[in-house]
Amino acid sequence: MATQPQPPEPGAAPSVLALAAAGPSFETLRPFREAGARAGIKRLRAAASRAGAEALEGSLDSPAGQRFFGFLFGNSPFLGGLLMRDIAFTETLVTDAPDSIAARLLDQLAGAEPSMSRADLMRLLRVSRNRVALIAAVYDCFGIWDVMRCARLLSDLADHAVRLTVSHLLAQSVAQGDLAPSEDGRWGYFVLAMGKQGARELNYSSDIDLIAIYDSERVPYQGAKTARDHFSRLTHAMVSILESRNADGYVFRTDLRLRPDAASTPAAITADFALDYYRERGRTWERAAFIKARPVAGDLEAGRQFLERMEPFVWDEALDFRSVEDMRSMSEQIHDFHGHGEVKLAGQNVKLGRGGIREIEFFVHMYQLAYGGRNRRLRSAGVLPMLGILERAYHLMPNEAETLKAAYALLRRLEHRLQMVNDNQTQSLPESDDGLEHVAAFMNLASKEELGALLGGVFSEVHALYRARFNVPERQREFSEAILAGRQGTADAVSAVDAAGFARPELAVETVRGWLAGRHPSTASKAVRASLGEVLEDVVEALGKTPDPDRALARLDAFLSRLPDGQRLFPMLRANAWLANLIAVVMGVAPRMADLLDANPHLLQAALDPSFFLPMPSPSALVAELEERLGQGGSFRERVDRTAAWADDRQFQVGVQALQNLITLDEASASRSHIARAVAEVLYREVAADLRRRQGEPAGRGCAIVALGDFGAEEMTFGSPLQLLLVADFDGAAADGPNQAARRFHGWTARRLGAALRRRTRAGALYETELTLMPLSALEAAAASAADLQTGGDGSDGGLVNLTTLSRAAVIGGDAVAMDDATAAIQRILRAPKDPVRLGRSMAAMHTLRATEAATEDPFEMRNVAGGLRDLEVTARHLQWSHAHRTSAVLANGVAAAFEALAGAGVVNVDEGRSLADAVRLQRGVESFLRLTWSHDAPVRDAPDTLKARLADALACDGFDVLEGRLRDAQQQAFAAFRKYVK
Amino acid sequence: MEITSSLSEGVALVSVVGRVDSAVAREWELGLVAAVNEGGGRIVLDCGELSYMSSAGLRGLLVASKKADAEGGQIVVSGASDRIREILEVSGFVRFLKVFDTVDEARSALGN
Repeated sequence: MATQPQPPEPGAAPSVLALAAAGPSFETLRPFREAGARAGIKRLRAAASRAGAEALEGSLDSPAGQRFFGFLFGNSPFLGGLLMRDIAFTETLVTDAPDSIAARLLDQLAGAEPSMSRADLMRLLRVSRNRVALIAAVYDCFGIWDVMRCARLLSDLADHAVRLTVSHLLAQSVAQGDLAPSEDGRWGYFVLAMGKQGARELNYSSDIDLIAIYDSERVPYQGAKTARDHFSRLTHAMVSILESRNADGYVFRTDLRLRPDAASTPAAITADFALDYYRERGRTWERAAFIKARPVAGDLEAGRQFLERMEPFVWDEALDFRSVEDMRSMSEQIHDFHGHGEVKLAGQNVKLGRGGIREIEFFVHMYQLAYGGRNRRLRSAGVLPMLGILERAYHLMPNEAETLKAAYALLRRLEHRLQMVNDNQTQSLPESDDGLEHVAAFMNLASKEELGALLGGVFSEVHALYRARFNVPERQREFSEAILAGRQGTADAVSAVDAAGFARPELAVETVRGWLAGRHPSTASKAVRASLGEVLEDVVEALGKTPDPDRALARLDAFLSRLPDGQRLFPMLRANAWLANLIAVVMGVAPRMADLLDANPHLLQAALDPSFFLPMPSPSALVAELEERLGQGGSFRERVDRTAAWADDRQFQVGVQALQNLITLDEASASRSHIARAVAEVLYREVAADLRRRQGEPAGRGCAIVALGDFGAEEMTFGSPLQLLLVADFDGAAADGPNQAARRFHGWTARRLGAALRRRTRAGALYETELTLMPLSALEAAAASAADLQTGGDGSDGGLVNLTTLSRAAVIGGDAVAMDDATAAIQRILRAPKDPVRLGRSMAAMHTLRATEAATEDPFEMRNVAGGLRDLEVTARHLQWSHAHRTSAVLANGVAAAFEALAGAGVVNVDEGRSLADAVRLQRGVESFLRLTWSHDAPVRDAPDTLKARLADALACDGFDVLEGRLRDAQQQAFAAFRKYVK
Repeated sequence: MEITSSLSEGVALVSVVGRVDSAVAREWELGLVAAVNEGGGRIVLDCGELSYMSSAGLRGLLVASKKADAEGGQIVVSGASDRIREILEVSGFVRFLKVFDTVDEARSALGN
């Protein structure tokens, strides 16, 4: 009597068979070989009967059971064999839920005793492997799990198998007296899973790639030979246990050849040798391999530490487009060598062929290698999660990501089916029609024609995306060849360059020909010139669009003449041709930024992050971003370098956005201060935490970081120095005891922070820094006698504790109690009633000073002209100091904000407050823009018209003359206010 | 800033007048996304009267472009001034935003 798949007990999860039968396409599944399916079911029924497997036997009489088992027998001799091999286990497919079957298998391996006999271990591993191979295939074929979950199950099996094998061998080594016992598992020997196992994406019939490493300082070897011999023998024994075949089959074919210099090194290598090798000789494919590396057996902690030390090799801070080139050429070589360049159906390799799995993996790896050094979020190992991450990071559009994800899932499913047929590690479609029909049936498609249509579309879409990102159109090469060619070619080249907008095309052609001929060291190598040749037309076109193409080209030529090598620049341009526009604008419009690029060409790489042109994150998000970029590892010096690289990127971003008028110059100033704040805050934390670890918590209230000057007022311009005050709780005169310890602690912190902020890295000094340490008690004492403080703005020496300095002070970080107390003391000083006689005397001194300084009539001399920025600041501070004792609402650090606050508090009328604030912003804006773009001593009026037009544009003025008129009006009004209030 | 949109033959024509800066960024982004929904992802963005675009404006454009792409469409730009065109080129936005001189050219690029 036919037994239908049993409905589950109430509350019990449905069985594998029940879930398969409930699948949407179950009814269309068919065996390719009907006879094989019928014979298989017959054999299985007989075996079930013999074994007393009633549930299994009963299910074979049901239509669902017949379709289920018929599909497996009729499509895969290998799966048919597994079904017959282990009847008790096969029966669980009709009785148990998929998740619980998988969990039981893995739990059994996890709980196995490593000291079991070698024979028991061999059997357990092989039986487990057979069972996992069966369920991974069944879950995949019937859509119970998606293909990547099945790949994860196979990877988990591999992890357990390697771990148990290594534990077994280590236990044996202890028993034989070669190793001393280890209570905590710190054997110093570990095994890294590489490739797809490392990424937990193992193929159905894949090899596993392992690297065995030991730390010669740590291993507890006590045998008569050497640790090197011992761990090499142990590693070979591991391979033998995993891959030798017996009646139960095998576990995994195991490959150790990913280790450094595999032809001449022992099977297990030392960590120091590996690190030296990768640092000195590591190649791009080895970097790519380590993206997925994961410790799976032995001393896992040592494995993690090793990978941490490998980070600088794998994740280069500088975006590395040379590796993109390497990967791309590797891909081309694979196509050429294996003849996978053509897309066809019969014999097509779904992994290595055009549009195949490898292209999708390369796609991901190339972004990871290029950007992962700067963005830790791009370091994930799995292909599908990475495609999602790339989309969220704006590297891929949603459609592109979805296309690649769907293609990857389909091709992996297909790859698995090809391998399931006979447990072969193949990725090629069959050559014969019969074979292709078989694959179509196994993929639940009607015919090989349907299979061909489906795959043809997928391969084309993937390859089109791959090509669009990593190849260049042929015309670029033609252009370069024309530039390099003889007389006739020269005429062509000159006319092309002429059409691009150059006034002196012959000279331009000569210049670029010099690049192609390797005139500068940066273009000397053949590979660099090849990359250059492929982007040259874009570069010339972009320069042609700048206001003065010839001048921009000359700047770029000067840039290339100073660039030590072009190995990074041109591959980067090749992969991002649009970047030529940015280079052209910087070279053509902003000489000071061009100087900056000359010194730090790596800054261009920052612009490759798609969010480079979007608004700057909030100050707290900047801190979080910097912390994420720093990560966990590395020495303090390396961490300072990483901080500097981050700050440079962000500063360059602000500069470019200001130049492009994407942010107001006011916003640019605030952003610069926010970047500096993140740097100061994070580095202070690093320095203080390091000292706390070594010396413990200092006595007292801790330390507050106070930003001063332009930094404190959020008015930083390009190149503004960093003025910092550390206000800490210590007694400057303490001779001994905890107070002296606190003094030492804060003194050391200040010195180390100052050194870090001033540190000259490859990219130059982080900041010109003025840093002072003062006792909190001194600030509080000043607050107690605040009415007597000097203004500090009249040439008098009030030290740091004067009104002018503290009016621009902002407490930005440090320890909470010290921050509160420093803020309170500063407020108290600023709000104390001022002695009107002293204040009046100070203002009179300023009047005198102004009279001597304000000798210029040039409205662009904004510091010294009457009604310029100094007059405005004096006016604002005078009004604040005169009224702050009545209301704190008048207090604000920035001068423009101060006028708005004064208007808000009714000290000046609203219109006057607004126009004075506008006068500040206009003049600060001009100053800020010119610091970015105009390095000459000559008057601004003599700057190129293009620069003047951009300046006017940045200040929302319709032309330079209009801007000049507005400046004069603003200064006139500001000087009138100065005379009105400061007396 | 003023943003208007009209639907014709399955394409939303969005016209923007004035400045797109951080003060109107939210309104700009919502307006574009609404137009993407209305036009099923097929948008002609007429920038003939657009005088200024800030980084916040670029963000709105990027968000709307991703949405259009996810819908199977795209945003094409017409009539951009030299400055706006330069911003799109320098920022690399031209990788996913095609730029045309006229609305008609832009509309033809979207096809029917």
